[in-house]
Amino acid sequence: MTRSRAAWVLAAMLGSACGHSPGFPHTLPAPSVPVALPDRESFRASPPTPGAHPAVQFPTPGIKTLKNGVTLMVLPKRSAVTTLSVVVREGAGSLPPGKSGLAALTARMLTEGTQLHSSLALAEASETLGSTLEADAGRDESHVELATLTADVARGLSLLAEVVFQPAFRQADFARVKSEWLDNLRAERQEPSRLASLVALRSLLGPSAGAPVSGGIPDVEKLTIADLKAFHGQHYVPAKLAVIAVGDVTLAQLEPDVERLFGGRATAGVSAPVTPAPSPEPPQKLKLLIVDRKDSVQSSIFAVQPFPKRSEPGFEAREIMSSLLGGLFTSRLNTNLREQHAFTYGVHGQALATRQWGAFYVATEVKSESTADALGELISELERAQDAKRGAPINEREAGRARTDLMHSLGARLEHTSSLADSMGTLFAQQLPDDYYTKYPALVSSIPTSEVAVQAARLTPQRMLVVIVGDRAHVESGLNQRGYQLEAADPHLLE
Amino acid sequence: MRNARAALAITLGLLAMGLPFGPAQAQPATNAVGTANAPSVAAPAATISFEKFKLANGLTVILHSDRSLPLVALNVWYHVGPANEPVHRSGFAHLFEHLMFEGSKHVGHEFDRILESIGATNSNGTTSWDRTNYFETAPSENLETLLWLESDRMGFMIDTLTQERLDVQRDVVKNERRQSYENAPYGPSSLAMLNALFPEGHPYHGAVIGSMADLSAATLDDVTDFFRQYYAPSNATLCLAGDLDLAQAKALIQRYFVTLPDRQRPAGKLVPYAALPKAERLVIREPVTLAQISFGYRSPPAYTEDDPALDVAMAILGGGKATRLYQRLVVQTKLAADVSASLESNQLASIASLSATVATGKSSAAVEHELDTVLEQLEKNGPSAAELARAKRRILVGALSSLELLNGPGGESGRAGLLQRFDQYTGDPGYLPKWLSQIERVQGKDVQRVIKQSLRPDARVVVVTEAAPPAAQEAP
Repeated sequence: MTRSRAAWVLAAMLGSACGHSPGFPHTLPAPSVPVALPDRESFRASPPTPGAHPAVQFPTPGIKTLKNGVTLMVLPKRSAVTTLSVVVREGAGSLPPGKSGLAALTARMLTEGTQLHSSLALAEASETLGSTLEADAGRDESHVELATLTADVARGLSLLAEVVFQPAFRQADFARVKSEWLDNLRAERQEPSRLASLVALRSLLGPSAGAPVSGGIPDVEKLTIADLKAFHGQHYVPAKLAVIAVGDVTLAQLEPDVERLFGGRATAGVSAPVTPAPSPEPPQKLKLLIVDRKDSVQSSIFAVQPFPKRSEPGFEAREIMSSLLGGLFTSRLNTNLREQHAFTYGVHGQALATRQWGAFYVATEVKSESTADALGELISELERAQDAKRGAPINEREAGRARTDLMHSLGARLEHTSSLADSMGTLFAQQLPDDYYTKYPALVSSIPTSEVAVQAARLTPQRMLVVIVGDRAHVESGLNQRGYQLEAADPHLLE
Repeated sequence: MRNARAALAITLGLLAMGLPFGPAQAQPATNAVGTANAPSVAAPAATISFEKFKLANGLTVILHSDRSLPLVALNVWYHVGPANEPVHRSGFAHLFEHLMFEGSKHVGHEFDRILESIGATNSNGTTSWDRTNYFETAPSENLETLLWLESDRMGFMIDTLTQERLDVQRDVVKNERRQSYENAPYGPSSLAMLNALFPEGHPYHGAVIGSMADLSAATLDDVTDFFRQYYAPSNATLCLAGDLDLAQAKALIQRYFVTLPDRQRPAGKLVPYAALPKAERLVIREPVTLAQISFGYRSPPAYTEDDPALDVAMAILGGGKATRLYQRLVVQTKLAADVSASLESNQLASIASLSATVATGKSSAAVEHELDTVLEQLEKNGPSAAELARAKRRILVGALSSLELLNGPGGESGRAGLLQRFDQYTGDPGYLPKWLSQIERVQGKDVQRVIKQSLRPDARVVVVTEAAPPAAQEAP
């Protein structure tokens, strides 16, 4: 739903870069190819000047709160397909200790049958509309989504209402889904990069806040259908729930249907807010954990430190900072680790920010023999950004590219009803102003580079937690030579 | 592959397509979800308006104007891929794709920085068996900058390439191979599958990513030869989609592309389609905890007669919960934790594959047997009318969703991607409605026929991935 949530699920490396190394000769004729440059090509030497940017605004959704507290958000957009979703403003961040996986598994079980329809009948009904019900949770929200032809919107809405308010939670279905879920957790842990992120976040944030959204295996094994019913009863309540529609529809058109389908649900007392997780502390000094993966040809590195949570001022400045450090293709990290040193296929750095905690991480997969060198470069690159006196202060050009990229990545979301529905979900889950995205470009362009540098100064590269999933026998001596000492990761962190 | 620059082509199981733009009104709601087992509405028409022409130097151009958002997408396809690689140069077409981002004579080495500075998004290149594409979307006032960048690397990329940059990208690609295949769960199994589907001698041999030895062997001369032979304007198609003034776009295209030297378009490889001559079975041990079974088949080339029925067959088998494989293997017998069915349509041979991850405590043999049973039953009895309708509707909605975008992920979906895709494989960028009507016309007996003909037990590769706990692994 947000940039940070996607990174959760995958711990994936976005980005890659094709950069320019400083001092690289501008033009070097390849010796074997004499290419004559006819005069007629000289016009190519000067880059074109772009015209004015046509005014485009990210639309502010039409919003209506029903009497029982359900929020309806509608963004009209010409499209043959309408994306419908229901977002609940609670997710994995709202779980008590020992219940990891519960928010995601509850969402998944919504699609496994209702009081009116069996699991199979429900799947048939949504696939008849040409779509699959997608249900999942993030740290701060849970959601169910369905894309339908615009002419089928009413059927889609009634399907969603039924799924959200009348789930069956049948024991037999739960037993099957839980066993499938556990196997998928095992499959996730086969992925070295996923394993690195899982161990790192658990180690930094503790077993509860740091548990993956999909759950720890021992926790999920103990979940019961009663846990799911309790989570559903507590959180899938009108005051915490939004119905979102993006497509060739209007608020006025949908309101009667939504009122009838969602407005009758009794208003439940809003439960007490979850106790905020304690602020995580970084290690006293750089700490390296290794998960030994014999014969691994690469080391998956995940380096992480605590960082401000979503609501702390400076969120957008931190977005600019992470973009120029590890988000853009030409980010500092990608330029260094990929384009200059060829240690990796890509490296990604990002500030994660949930309602309860924040973290900054860098993730990459490097060839085994380069592990120590790559880690050294990764740390020094962060040091250069952190300490402007010793290093390379954030410059206007890179900050400008990052601002441009953030603004235009938002603009690109206008193409797709599903991306827009996602942004609406973030508005609701994070309780942002209705016109947050409409004003976002102006906000981002107004942030001075000095403010980006202030955020970069919060990096603590000398006190990061680094997890390496790789062949210990192959990488340890190189790391030791650089003064890095390895500790084996506690097996519980892998579960 | 994933996310990063070098994205190899992703299997497009259910092809994405469609252009909506028929105003549709929301219907009054009924509560009757239970009656929803037949599509309620007729399929809306899906077309993408376009204009196609050639420049004097042989460059083909496709334009699609839609001024509803101030965005323009550029998507250029070179009609060259691994199918054209010289022997012992597997992976070269894809390595070359990386080099195309290294700079060019007039632009210098700032290609990505310039793109980022003008707000370009979804900028990447991908290599598939028969083609290599490069694409980006940008605010439309930057159309000329996009054309400047793209024309300079089409004409002058080779002028600035050095041994040093070749070596760096070769190592980056080797890292990509490690990350996506050697070190990835089921990666070694998927390479084994591809090598068995396309043995030595087939133009698709060696996988898109290539072998480490062949990547090491590539020289700067190889790059020059490949550029001169395959990166000619006459071997490329440029597509622009989005906020275009067509007259202005044409003038700009003339300005930037027409002087690029004309070279003869190389002859394509004409290898008649043939199914696998025999069945093959491979057992691969990997450091995973869950075993996996995959069936791979060659199937008829993209958009030939049986291809749409195979799309429908695959959508009946997998991709949703109300599908044969999911219901039979995951829900009823609980033998599998995960199933998939996909069809990757290509020029010389398409690839159909089914796969299942074996659930903890279940046997690979039982899963393999069940996969066979599902195929046999579908071939013998055909799909129900409701199954057929659901599969078609999923393909249609997937297509219409894709049409929301100018360039989709991988540059092979979205409007520009689809115009290119249809042009590459059928010669007609406007093939979308024809394809969709072929899908609509598929009947149960067609599904039965294509399963019988293409998904044959005696002409396939079965790959069994055995779980070898990491501790018990042997050194390679």
